[in-house]
Amino acid sequence: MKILIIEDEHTLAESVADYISEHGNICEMAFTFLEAEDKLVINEYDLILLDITLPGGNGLDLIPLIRKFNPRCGLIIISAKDSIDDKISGLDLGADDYVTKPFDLSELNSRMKSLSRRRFNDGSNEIVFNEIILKSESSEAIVNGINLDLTKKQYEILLYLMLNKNKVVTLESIAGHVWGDIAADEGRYDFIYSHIKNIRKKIEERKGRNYIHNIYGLGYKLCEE
Amino acid sequence: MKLLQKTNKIYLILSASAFLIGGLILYLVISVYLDSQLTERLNDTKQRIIARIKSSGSLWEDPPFVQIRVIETTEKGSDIVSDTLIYDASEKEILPFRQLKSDLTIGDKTYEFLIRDDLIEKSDILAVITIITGTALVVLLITLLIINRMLSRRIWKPFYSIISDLNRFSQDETEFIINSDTDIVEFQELISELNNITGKAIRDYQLLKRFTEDASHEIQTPLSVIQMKLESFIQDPDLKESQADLIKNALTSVHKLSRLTKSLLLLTKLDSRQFPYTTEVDLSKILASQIDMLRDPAKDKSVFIEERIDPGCLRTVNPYLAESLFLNLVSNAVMHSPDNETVIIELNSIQLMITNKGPAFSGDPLKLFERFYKADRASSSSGLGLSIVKKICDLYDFRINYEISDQIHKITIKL
Repeated sequence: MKILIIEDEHTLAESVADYISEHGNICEMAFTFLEAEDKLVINEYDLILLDITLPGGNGLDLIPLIRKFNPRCGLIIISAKDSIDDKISGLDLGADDYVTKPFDLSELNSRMKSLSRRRFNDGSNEIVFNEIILKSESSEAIVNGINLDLTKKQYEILLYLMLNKNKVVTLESIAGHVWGDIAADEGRYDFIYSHIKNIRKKIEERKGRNYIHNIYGLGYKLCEE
Repeated sequence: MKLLQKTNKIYLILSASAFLIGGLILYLVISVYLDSQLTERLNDTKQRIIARIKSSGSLWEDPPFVQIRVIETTEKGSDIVSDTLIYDASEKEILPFRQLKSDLTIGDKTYEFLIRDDLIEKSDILAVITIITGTALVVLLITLLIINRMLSRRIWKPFYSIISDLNRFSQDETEFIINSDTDIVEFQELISELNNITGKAIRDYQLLKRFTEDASHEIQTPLSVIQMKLESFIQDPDLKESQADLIKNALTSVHKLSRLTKSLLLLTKLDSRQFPYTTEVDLSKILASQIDMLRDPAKDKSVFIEERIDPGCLRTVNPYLAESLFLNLVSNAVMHSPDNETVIIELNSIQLMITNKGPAFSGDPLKLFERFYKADRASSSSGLGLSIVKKICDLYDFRINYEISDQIHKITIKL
């Protein structure tokens, strides 16, 4: 996928670019309004991340331009402002999602993946990792052909980990994604442990391998290892 | 009382009083005039009779109008005017008359004259006058009322237009001008002053709004950088456990700081009323979904949430604020509940009640609504949750009450 990150804070842009630069993804960056304009006119992108507080102009003004030259690309607005007006205007103008800073990289990543699957329906609505298959239409998880019978929350957790495969996802991030911001405040994440435990058990019962690894109590990583 | 009603009332009372007094004076004046005319006529008649007697010696009588008799000189008295009732043969009934009794000596005889004039005429005239005046009064009053209404409405029209314009006013508009064509100086001044005030209110609001948004941006951006760098750090496959521990703490603090900033900004926005958007929302649904989100974390403490929610409690509020209100309330209750306890949440069409066991607290429970006030200073909460709750309640005039007795904390919100 070709991705354009329009963000004036260099370190931020680079962090995001590093994180999402997986196999097959090409990341470009634009740090000012004018730079963004230039890049948009010349290139076509599959996904654009737009920070609306840009020097040289209001990021929202770029949206019509994006839609003109890149009508089919996914567009996610990032902003520190948490302003409802901006959110509504942005979505009205044609953005697909709105994320407020600071955000978890894993959260942003999962949204980008979901968006790209929706936009570029490559025929299957499945997310696959070895023998684990997630069907997004029916929210089902299948291992070795057998349904895992996951609860709603367990499915969400597994999906989140799969979208961020090979990355360490913090407990806070999981709590924030599945339960909401406040749950991530509490500081106690035993409830996540118990959910993960159940997920692992169900996978094991269907003769699947365990790919979910606990990283020093920081979080989890779904990977081969 | 409406403006027109009041002016009408005053006009009516004053006009009616003026007319009544005028009418009374007219009545009295005419009455006195008629009386003096009557008396004059009686005297004229008397003079004519006297002249007759002196010239021809004949006594002309015309009962009941003139009656003459001879009396002894010693009986002579002074003139007396009185009212009597006499049978009038020509009318064949008893009628009231004014009578002049006068004694006069002419030559060697003393006569007593009784000269009378009927009073019916007088009372008839007065009756007619009263009716005419009364009718004139009523007609004039009605006309006055109608004219007053029409005129008042026209004259006060700009004023009502100003009021309806003001009703439309809301701070978050970008521009607001009251427009009224009027040549009345006072209204022009009123409009000018109001436009000044509303203009200032709009400017102040916009300034504060920009400030909160800019502050948010300035704080959250560096926080984002910190968080992202830390998150990138932990992706290192050679990460050591000791490093992981350090990062865990750092991440927690960043997260906490970010939440704190968001809460502070929310409070500022609530203060300056930056949430004008409202719509009808189902509070029951929102509350249920917030509780749902906190059930699992609550289970970690073996805290059980008991819901008693009546369905379909609707209110017109900002949906984002409703979520925030319930989230903070429930999370507060769960967080401060000791392990192995139950939190009871009840919602009906009148009120919301949350009861939980909590630490003993001997102070004024209302202090807990102050920013950053934490009963347990060591607690990891920001201390802002209840402030947010209170501000949202204040915004929508929900009365909130916090009772603590025997370690049972009960928050009641009258919706």
